[in-house]
Parts: sequence; C-alpha cells; structure tokens
Amino acid sequence: MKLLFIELKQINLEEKKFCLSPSLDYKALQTSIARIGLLIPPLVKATKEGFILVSGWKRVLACSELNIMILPVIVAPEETGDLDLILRVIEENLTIRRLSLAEKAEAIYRLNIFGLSKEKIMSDFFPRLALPQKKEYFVLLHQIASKGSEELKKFLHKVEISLEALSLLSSFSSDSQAKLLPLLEASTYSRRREIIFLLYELAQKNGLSINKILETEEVRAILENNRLTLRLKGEALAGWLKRKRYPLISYWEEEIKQTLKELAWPEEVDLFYDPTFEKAELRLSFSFQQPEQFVQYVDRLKEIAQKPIFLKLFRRTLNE
Amino acid sequence: MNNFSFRQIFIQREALNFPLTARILARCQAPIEIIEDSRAIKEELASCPDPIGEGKKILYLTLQKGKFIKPCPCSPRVISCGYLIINSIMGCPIDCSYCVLQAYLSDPWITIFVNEDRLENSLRFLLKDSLPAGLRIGTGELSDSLALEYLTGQAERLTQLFYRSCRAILEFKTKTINIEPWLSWPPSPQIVFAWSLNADTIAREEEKGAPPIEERIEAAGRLASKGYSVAFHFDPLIYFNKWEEEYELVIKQVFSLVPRELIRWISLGCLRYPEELRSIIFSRFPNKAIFISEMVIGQDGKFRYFKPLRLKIFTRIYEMISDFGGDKIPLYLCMEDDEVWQLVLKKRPAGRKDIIPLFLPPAIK
Ligand code: SF4
Repeated sequence: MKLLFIELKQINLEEKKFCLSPSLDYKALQTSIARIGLLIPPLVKATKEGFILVSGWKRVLACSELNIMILPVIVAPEETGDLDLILRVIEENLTIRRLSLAEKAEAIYRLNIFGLSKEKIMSDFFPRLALPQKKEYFVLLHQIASKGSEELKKFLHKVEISLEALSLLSSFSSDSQAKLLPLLEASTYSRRREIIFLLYELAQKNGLSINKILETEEVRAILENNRLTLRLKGEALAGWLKRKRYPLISYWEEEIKQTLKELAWPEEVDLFYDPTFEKAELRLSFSFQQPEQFVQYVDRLKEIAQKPIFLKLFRRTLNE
Repeated sequence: MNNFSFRQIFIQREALNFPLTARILARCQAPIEIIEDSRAIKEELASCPDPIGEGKKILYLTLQKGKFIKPCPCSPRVISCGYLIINSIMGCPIDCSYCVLQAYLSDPWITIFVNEDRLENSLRFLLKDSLPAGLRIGTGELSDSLALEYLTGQAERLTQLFYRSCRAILEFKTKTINIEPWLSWPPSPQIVFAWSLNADTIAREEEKGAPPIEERIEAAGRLASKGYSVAFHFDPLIYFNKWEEEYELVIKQVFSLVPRELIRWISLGCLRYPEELRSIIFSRFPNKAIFISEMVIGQDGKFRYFKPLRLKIFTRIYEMISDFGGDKIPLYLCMEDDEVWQLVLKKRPAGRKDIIPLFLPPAIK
C-alpha cells in the first residue's frame, strides 16, 4: 500500500461496493476538516479505470463540499481482493462505532458475495455484529441488502428494531412499507414492534394483505390526519389494531371503563386489575391525610358497592 | 400401523453394542453413520432451511447418562397432576404445528437412548418404592409413546414391568394406532393407552403424519374390546369457526365406540405455547390463523386464550362429555389454575394429593 496525493475527481464515487451506509451524514466531520484539515487518509483501490473508494466516504464527501480537490489517500494495489478490502472496512468501522442494522446487512451481503461462506460469516462475524447466530437472520439481512428498498435501508440505518419484527416487516409489500416507515421511524422501539406484530397478526387472522388493512377507511383516517404528528399517528394506529386484533379483550377493558363511569367512581381512587384478566384479584389505592378523609372514601366506596352494576367489575365468564 | 421413513441413523460409538441399537438397525433401512457425538448432526442440519422438519427424519442412538425418570415440569402457579416422565426418546416423527417440543428440545433430531437396561432397573427400583397409588408414569411427554414402537419395541418391554406393579400406572400417550402387540395380551389396570384427540379439521391441518381421528378412536375401541383401560386427552383444544360442532362429533364418536367404564380419565387443555415457540410457528407454519386468536401471556409466561374464552371452551366441552354419559369419568384440566377448576368442574383440588387418586383403577378407588 502506498500513500499518494491524488485529485478528488480521480476517485470514482459512483462505485459503492465498499460502502456500507445507505446514507452518510458528514456535517460534523466537514466542520472538523474545515478547521484542522484531513487527518486520516481514505483508502482507495487502484483499478484500470481509476480509483475506487474503499473506506473514508464521509471524509471524501466532506472534502468535496469544502472544495478540497487534492487528497492524501492510501492506495491498495489492483490485485488486492475485494474480500480483503471489505474486511478492512468492517474492521475499521467496528473498532470505532456500532454498525446500524442496515450496515450490518450490507456487511453480511458483501462478505458473502466477495467469497466468504454463510457458515463462516455466521461463526466469525455474527457475534462481533451482536447478531444471534441463526440462519434465518443471515437470510433476512442478506435479502435486505440485496433486494430491500432504499427507504427500508435508510430506516434501518436510523432506528433500532428487533430482528423478529424486522423479519415480519420485510415480508410486507414495498407499498405497505412505504406507508409505514415514516410512522415507525417516529415511534418508540416497543411501539414499532407492537404495530408490526399487530398488523401481521391481524392480516393472518382475517386473511387480508397488509396493504388492504392500511387501505381501510379507519386506518386511512389516521394516516391522513394532518393534525396528528407521526408519533401520535403511530399511537392511534396501534390502538386501532389492538381493538381489531383483540376484540374480546378490548371489549372487556371498555366495559370496565364504562362501568366505572356509570358508578361515578371517584377519580382519586385508583382501581387496578390484571390487564390479561388471568387473575381475579382487584386492587385499590387512594391516599388520605386525615381520618375523616379516609372515612369519606370508604363511605363513598360502600355506597358504590351497593349498586347492582358494581358486580360487573367481578365478571369472569363470557355468559355473565 | 404407521411407519415413518428416516433418511439417516447416527449412532454414537458408545451406543453401538446395545440390543436396542441392533433391534432398530434390523428394522430400519436408513443409512448409518457412526459418530463420536452429536456435533456432526448439528453441522449437517446447520444448512437446512427447516432444521426442525429435517430433524424428524434423523435418528440418533446414544446413551442416557442423566436421569431416565423425572417429574413433569408442568407450569408454575397451576394445579399439577403429579406426572412422572420417562425420558427414553426425545423428539417425534409426527409434525404437529403446535408441538411445544419444537421449542422445548434443544436438538431437533430424534434421540433414542439405547441403554434400556438402565431405564428398566430405575423403574424396577421405583416400582418397589412406596409410590402413591394412582401415580402416572408416561413416555408421551418428550415424544409420542407409540410412534416409534415398530422400531424400538420399548412400550412392550415397559408393559411387562408394569404388569406386576400394583401402584403406579403406565400411560402410553399417542396419536398413532400402533396397538397390534397388545391385542393378544391380557389387559392390566396398570397400563393405560391414551389418545390425544382433536377436532377433525385441526387433526387434518395441524397434525401432519398422525392418523385421522376416526382411526385413533377405532384403535381405542379395539383395545377396550379386549378389556384394556383407555384415556383421552383433548389437548390442545383449539378455538376456531366450527369448534363446537367438530368437538361434539369427536366426543360422540368416542362414546359410541368405547365403553365409558373403560375410560379411565379425560384431560382437557386449551392451546398454549411459550414465547419461544411463537417465532418457530410463525416461520415454520406461516398463515396459520389458529395461532392468532385472542391470547394473553398467562401467569406461567405462556401464551394462552383469554381466560373467559378458555372458561367457555372448557365448560362447553365438559358439558358435551357429561351429555354423552361421561359425567362419572375422572376429568382434569391441564395447566390451569384453581379458579378455572372451580368455575368449570366446580371443585378446587388442593394439589397433587387430591388429583393422583383420580387415576386409581376402579377396583381400588
Ligand atoms: S405427536 Fe405429540 S410429540 Fe409428536 S409432534 Fe405431535 S404434539 Fe409433538
């Protein structure tokens, strides 16, 4: 390998076979280079057609923005294999940061097409990429890198998502993914998971496609509601999906709320019940400072307990 | 008799010179490979897209170095029936979509422990002991009790041991109809053949490789006609469109072919599965709406139907059994808490000491 000074335009930036990131944010680096210059030379590979950039994408793009036209680069000779170079890229990145899921997918795919076997990738790289050594995840990430949409890759570059949820999400049509991705991006990790699972299960349950569900009037009303932020749309969608996926449980929950309303249940007294309804036990909590206050609550609750609909709170079977 | 085809038999070197190994090799034509340990099988299955499905075609003959007999793990916070499991075969050639073994067993192939002399000695020792009368011991928890009988002859050997036992009961839990050997033997109240039954649609769609329900009930009827005690497990009960009419049909068939006095017990259990099984089911059996009912995570960490729905299913099935004349047959609920027992069966057993006597042979009760 040699250190050379070359013109930026000699580097073919269209060839991205060594680039793992679907989007490159180099603003901070640009400021730093503007201040103190380029500290570490990028790595390029010499080819007959010119130089291919191997690592240092952000550095090169930042220099280009700053009109720095001559760069120091380390040149790998033409005979250096692609596998060798991608290994360097992965090593270089892994030592300084965690890779996003999109980058992990890309790394797995490149390692594989540059000649490393699935088994070797799983045994040597999955632990380093913090991935469970399961074949299905190799297939999933390989497919995302080779066939996934740019939007999906950018999404996976920005957010965390469980591999289980990703595996379901990647089975959705690209149309459905396009509708969901902005909203999933704005949601929390657990909400993201919830929405994906609920959608998948609802589609299975009713024999519908995900797109059909997303096209229903109620869902469109949520997705097209301009008064809601993306995050709130996610919340509303999760709520709607839950009611459809678990109609009985939702009905049961609704009935408790309704009963409490009809009983004019005091707001200061919290009633807790097992959200899965497995346990029959109910629990109350209220705070008081004076004995009279305590007696007041107890009297009020006694009064409530006399009303026939109070028994609805103790309902355990469907027939009652 | 339904036989299964295997694509390979792996024999651990230590397991070569055992009579059970010889019996299996004489009865199965699959290619043989002698290995030092199971790593070779793991490697072979590593590249399969469906190692669980593929593992069902592989037999691994090895030695049981741990305990052959263990208490059934059951589930925390539910009423246990005090079952003992014989751990002589792990894995099953039948492929039920809901089978918990897919998640429970760490290896997907079928392991047969060939040191049967050790198993038989442990059983002899156990049977001499002061076991509670009515205690059940079975081979049907980590496999189907009779699915591989045509290769192992193990159930026949165990039967002989239990003939002389006057306390414990040996239960063969099966979905097969491999009962031939017993038709010519005298029955014993200590041996019970139990069939897992389900609605016809479920058996057809979810129990790949198992004989149809009608044949299972007929097999039970044939054994009962020889005086054998039988039992039935409606487990897992599955909530689907025609659940009521289909289960009723099966229960009707049972009572028309099997005299109720020979039915020693019936168990009911609703579909349930641990979280780990969920992703396996999703990937091995996509598009199965039956797993997407209203399920919650129960107190034992397993997915199960919303309790009011379970109560409805249990109550209705119990009613059907009673309506067809089975009201005197001991019935128990699998992995359910005392509230469910109380609401369905109107009794709240304190634990295994109340449940084990349910299984006593009628003469002792
Ligand atoms: S028969 Fe039993 S052990 Fe075999 S696959 Fe079915 S549920 Fe599992």
